[in-house]
Amino acid sequence: MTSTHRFPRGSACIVGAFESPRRKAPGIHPYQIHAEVIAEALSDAGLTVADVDGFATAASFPSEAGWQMNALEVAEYVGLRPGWIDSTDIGGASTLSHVGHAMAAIAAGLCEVVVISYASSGRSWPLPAPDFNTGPTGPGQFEVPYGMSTISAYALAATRYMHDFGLKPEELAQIAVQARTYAGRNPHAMYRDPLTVDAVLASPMISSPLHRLDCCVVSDSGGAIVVTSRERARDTRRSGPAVLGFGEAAGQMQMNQMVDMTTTAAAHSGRRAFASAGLGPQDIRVAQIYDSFTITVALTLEALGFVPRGEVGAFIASGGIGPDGRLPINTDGGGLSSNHSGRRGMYAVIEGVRQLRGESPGFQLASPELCLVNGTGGWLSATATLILGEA
Amino acid sequence: MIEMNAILPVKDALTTPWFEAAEQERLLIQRDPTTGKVQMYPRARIAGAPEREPEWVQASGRATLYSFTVVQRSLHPQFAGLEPFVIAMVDLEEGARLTSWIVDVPLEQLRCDMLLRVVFREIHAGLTMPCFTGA
Repeated sequence: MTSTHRFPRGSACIVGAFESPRRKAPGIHPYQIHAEVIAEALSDAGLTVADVDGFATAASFPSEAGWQMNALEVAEYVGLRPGWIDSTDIGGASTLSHVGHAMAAIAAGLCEVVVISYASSGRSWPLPAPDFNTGPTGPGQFEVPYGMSTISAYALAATRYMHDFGLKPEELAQIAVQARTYAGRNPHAMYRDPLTVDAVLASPMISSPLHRLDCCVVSDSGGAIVVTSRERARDTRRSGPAVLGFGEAAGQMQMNQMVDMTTTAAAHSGRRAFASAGLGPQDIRVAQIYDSFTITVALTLEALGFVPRGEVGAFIASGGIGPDGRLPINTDGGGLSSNHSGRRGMYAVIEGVRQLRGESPGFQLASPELCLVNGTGGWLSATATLILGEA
Repeated sequence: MIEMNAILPVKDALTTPWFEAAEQERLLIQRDPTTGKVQMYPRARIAGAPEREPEWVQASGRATLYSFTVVQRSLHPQFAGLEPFVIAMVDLEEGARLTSWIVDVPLEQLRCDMLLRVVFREIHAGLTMPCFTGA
């Protein structure tokens, strides 16, 4: 494993952040949303396009409507002239990956002000591709013909975890219910009406054991953040939390390559993030945990070390992620109720920033001091973990 | 030109023998001639040891069920109408894991770790693939 002792802890800050209030945007090309959120994030930081010398956005999904090399096209559309570019695509974890890479680039002197943006009309844009994990070429020849989908991939992990550790469907459902409770306070959340465990369990079974309400919302939206050096951050309008820790890790793409379906790559990325920050799970009181599905949260809480092996069901059942619990998570309502247009990592990072500014639109903790953000990409395929806080 | 909603395998020089064997109801897997460890899906080289080439061997077809999901609603037009079907992660006794379908097992009898044996089914018109049923 790569050493983390040279990680430039706290050397960069997230000084601007903006999540689009859009949730349903039929007919809106995602590049419009890129332009909107970049303008707002720069305004939030008190910076302009002229200050920007680095740009990151993930290589495009079809739902993001970039055909190819979309980082270049989005930069062109918005009028950015970056001298440092990152198009890393690790699915929903991409934004967190971009933050870590941007921090390294800033520390190396390659750039100073990096805009990271993401936009997708995952709900309304006419998709050229359905929900297959990969195409029926190369490795996918042995999985795609059987109809593997994103939800089925996560359902397979859920089945095995339930078998090994006795996790109950109602405990998974409680994760969706808690997200809805936080979303109820967030005026921009896609769904805000109260939800019950019974309603989750009564929603249609899609791919057992996951019901429709075990799945995230499908929205059209976007977000942007601005990362700069700690020195430059002092001159910005809002300042912002520093990046104290970072780790990323690759898992698998084909589900038949995931040896232990109950342990995600977050065990690896989380360990590196904690090590680089000089912190441990016991130091964290609030977190944004990627919630594409309820099971994603359950597996990640364990992988990050917040819950002992096999005990996440009891942790959820005892209110562990609730407002008075050990670890409130997804305080804006998460992907399960507020916003998930395809890569939620951006929104999770933004909510982490808002939480540390005392500006969560959902449930705001009193002086949280630190916030962990974990992104999960693909089909439990990759994770990236950030720890944000005062430098 | 491959459409983005394609589901039929785009066979290549490496994988064609595997599909030809499946047509003949034989399940091939790959083995590392040095260590004897098996791997699936088929690759040109040994995963983690790309200096070595694998050899094909025939699997016994005996396996256990690592995990499964009963698909009640598929988003894919090509699979809509086939529901319910059971996507499975199957561990062959030789050590490799396959994605497959469980067939001819009542849904309420599905259990992780249950014993399985291979059967071959035409899962799409003209495509025979290994599936598994109760041993």
